[in-house]
Amino acid sequence: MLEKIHDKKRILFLKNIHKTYTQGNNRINVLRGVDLSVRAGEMIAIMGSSGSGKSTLLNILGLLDDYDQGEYMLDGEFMGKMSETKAAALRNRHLGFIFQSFHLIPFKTAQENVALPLFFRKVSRKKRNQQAMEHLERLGMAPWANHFPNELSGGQKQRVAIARAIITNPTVVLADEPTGALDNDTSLGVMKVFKQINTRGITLIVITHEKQIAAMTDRILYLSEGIIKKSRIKD
Amino acid sequence: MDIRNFFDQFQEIFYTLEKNRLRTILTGLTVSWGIFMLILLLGAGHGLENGIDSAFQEDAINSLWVRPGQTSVHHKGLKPGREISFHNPDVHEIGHKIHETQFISGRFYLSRNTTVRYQKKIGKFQVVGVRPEYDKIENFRMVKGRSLNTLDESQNRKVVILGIDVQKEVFQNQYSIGKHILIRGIPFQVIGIFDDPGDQWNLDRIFMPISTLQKVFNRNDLVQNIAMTINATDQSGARAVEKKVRDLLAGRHGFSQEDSQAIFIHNSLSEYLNFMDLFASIRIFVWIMGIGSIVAGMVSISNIMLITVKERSREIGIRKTLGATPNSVVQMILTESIIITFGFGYVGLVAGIAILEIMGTYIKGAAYFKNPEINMGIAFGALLILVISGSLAGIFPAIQAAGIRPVDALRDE
Repeated sequence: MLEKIHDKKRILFLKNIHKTYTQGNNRINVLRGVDLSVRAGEMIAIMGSSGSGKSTLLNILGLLDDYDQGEYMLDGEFMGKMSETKAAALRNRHLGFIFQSFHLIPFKTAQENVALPLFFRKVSRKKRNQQAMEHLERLGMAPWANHFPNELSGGQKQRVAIARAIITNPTVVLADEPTGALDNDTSLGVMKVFKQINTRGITLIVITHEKQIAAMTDRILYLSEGIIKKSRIKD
Repeated sequence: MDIRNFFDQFQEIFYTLEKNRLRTILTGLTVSWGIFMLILLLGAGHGLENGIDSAFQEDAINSLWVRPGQTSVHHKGLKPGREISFHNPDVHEIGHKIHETQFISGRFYLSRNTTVRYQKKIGKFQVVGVRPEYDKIENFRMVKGRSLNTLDESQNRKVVILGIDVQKEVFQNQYSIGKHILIRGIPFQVIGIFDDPGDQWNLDRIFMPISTLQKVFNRNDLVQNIAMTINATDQSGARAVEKKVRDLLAGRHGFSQEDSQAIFIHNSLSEYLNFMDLFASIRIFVWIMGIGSIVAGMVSISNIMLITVKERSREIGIRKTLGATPNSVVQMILTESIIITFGFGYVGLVAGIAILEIMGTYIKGAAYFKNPEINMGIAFGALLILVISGSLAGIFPAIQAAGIRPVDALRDE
């Protein structure tokens, strides 16, 4: 498996990433030199206790937050300090996001939520609705296409969020506790969907607390005290 | 930006507004109300101005009305308390010596209850003696027959013209021209029927040459008051003619030019110009009030939009995470603000115009209120103000929205 990974292109690369927050007079060093290399098509899990810096790392990977020191390369391009406009364009082009609390827009239907990233790519309404419908169909959500988020179950909402994350055919999908709000069976269902996505070549980085979920990925990274301390590659 | 994408952006914004209907309506109502009140105030002010203007136009606006009084100050050895009375030579001298005079007439009223009879029908009316030029001063509109002329005056003809109410009461539907009526038992031939939209009192009156009245009813050359129109276009011109008339009469009747009680002069032009000044002030006041209410609406929209942006920070965070740029967020909030302001402002504008139309239809006969309307320039001006105010109202919320960091907005509560 390791060889298989090494054969592939390095899609995401972090070197000595530092991030510090200031809270009053206190400086909190959340990340203290994170090194990470992810190859195209990999599915990895990042685990760690609360406050270990998992979400901060994901925000930096997702260009939602900046870092103080280090190097970040995404799909062959260095991500330094950049304008919010450029960050938004890169997020739309390269990244997909899945969150624990789904973050669907409540007054849009499932289909409209899925189609939204294509709106920012200036894809016509007809085409983006058509593509959204195709993605919902693949995830078994077509019958709920015209339902609003408050009419869907947790698992259904997460499938809609997954469809939204992959509709732009991103290089990397970042999932922050994607099963945190779901029961066991539903969580396993969602992970099966992740597996399907991954087999289509999309790189997946999943932050999770749950060992059972992490065990379904190719590689598990343990973040502790602001650095990646352990890395375990699944057999 | 290509046109398809431009419409798509608009569709997205309309969709968001439509999906949040209550919030949109509540936000827009303040602007609707502001523009509604502006249009209503402007239209009503205009209606009042038209009404006053029309009332003046239906009489000559450049008229002077002079009536005698009682002296109140000593003058050249004469005691105060002297009654002043006018005579035909006063009228002639004003006409000859004051060149600004256009038309002039002395007037003499018989009693308000003068008995008028036609066959078996008896009525009580006021009979007035005037010169032929008087119809120009009052702007009489002859409905039938003719008005008084100089031959009627010079030959002391016993002819009369009747107000339409007199004609209706005395003759009902019968043809009256050429018929004879008896005024205090003396026969007079009816030569014309007139209407006077500017003065309803005249419709109940009978007019005859003043020379005839003075002769037939033994009034010698006595004149009760003098009416005239003058050539003047502004306050100072009108006041100057008024002074000339006062000075001339003061010289003729031996009273002080400063004696305000000896004669009374009603200057219509001066009064008209005063009204116009008043309306100019009212117009400015209405604009200040109207713009004030629009500004209040704007502040209210801006406040509501700020609250909305706060409420929608998660949605904005999601949009930014998915690829919305700060510019597109500013554009979204600004366009929403402009659409709300323009759309609801337009509703207020149309509602205001509709109410003015209804007012115009139902208050047609009202005195001093006519055609409450606004012109197209003001309507377009109001629309322009709406677009500008919509943009201004949206600026601060839009800047705030653009500054939302997705990482903060999406943090789980």
